[in-house]
Amino acid sequence: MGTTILNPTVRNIYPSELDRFLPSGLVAEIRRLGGSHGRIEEIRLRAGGRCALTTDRGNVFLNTSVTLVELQGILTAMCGNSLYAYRDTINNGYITLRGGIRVGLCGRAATELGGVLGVYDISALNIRIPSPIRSVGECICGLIRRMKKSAGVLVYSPPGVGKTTLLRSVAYKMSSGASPWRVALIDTRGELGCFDEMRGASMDVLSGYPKGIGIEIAARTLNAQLMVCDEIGGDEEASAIISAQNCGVPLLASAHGDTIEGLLRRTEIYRLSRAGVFGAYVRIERRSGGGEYKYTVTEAEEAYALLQNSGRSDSRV
Amino acid sequence: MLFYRIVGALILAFSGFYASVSMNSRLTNTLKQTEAIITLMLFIRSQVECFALPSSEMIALCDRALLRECGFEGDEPPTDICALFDSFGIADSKTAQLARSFAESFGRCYREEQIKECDYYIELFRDRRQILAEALPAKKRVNSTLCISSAIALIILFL
Repeated sequence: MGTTILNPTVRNIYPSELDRFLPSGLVAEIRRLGGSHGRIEEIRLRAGGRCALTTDRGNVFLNTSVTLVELQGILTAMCGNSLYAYRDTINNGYITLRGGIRVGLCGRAATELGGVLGVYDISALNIRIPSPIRSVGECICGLIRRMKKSAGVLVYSPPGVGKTTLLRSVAYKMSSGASPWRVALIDTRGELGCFDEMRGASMDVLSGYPKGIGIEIAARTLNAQLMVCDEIGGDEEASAIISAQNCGVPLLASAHGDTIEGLLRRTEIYRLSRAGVFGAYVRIERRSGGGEYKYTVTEAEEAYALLQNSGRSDSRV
Repeated sequence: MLFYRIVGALILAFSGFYASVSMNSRLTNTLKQTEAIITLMLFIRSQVECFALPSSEMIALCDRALLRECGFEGDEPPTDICALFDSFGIADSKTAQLARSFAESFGRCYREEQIKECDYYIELFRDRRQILAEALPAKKRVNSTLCISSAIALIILFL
């Protein structure tokens, strides 16, 4: 099934700009560890508990712990002492720092009519460190260039494998070099278009835009040749993408999923596939203990056939 | 000898007058500083209410003349509200305490709560300005009387 391509190891760096937010004891402990437990991907802080690292080899507990008050102070500092300016993203469970560092958060939610009004008593922060742009995704660029004009590509994997890193790299490669495309990056969470070297490429970054609105703008007013967005989820987003995407511009996107059948069983992904938004699906895997990636490409017709064989019918849509 | 005494007396008289003017001017500037801080807080409140701007961007948009009236003397204002209010060098101790309390609590809550907090502190600052304004004439009279009386007493002793 599909084509398997391997890509080289991606090295990661601990961003020094986190030093001004984190307690000095925690910073010292992380620097002492260095890369002895693998490449640091996430730093986890929990109120009243020990801090932990998520590396490419697994989870590591640290000796440093933080209190509820310290955690709140860290979040306020990350918001530039302007918590009110980040309410929308905090209610969605994250803030994004400079450099594309996404900080997931949770606490006590105040709700009204099923929506989150605010999050108080922050109990945990998950600082996700982005991988820098590296030489990955060349095969995906080739795939996009070979595809029919309007057929897009959906990259999928379980969480934490490297979809965002791949999207960032592909967007950069497609918009730079000898034959650059006009690329529009619908960067809803501020993670994709965060590196300075991306500024010189033929890329327009729509930061903070909801996906449907961003896609419409990219296609109609920015005259993009390729649109890139991260983490498609939910029927509303799918509806917005379908209505905005009937413009002949291919879309490169990502979604959570483990198998092609599982992915297409999700209602919103199935709708997108039946609408012809994606011409190919690319599964990412990571070799255990290292940063080597494996990409498995499944063409749209083949994917649909697999789904038919596994018993999904159109009546479920 | 008499000439030097007259010169000395004139210098003392002038000093007394100058001290009186200087102290009264300082009192007036304290009141103006408090008024300027109220204007600044109204600006901050409007930026939070209308745009939810982070504090660093808010300060960058702020009128430099207003910041000078508040007491800031540098070229580029700090990007942090706490550092900004510290840089004002507020003469009146109670006003300084209010400003420190506001700056330390700023930015720790969401928009609606932040607006209410701004309103609360603006009200406190207005009350303080009212107190300073009402006490100003009496303090000016005391300063003038003290300085001029001291000068006259010294002149008498000197002569």
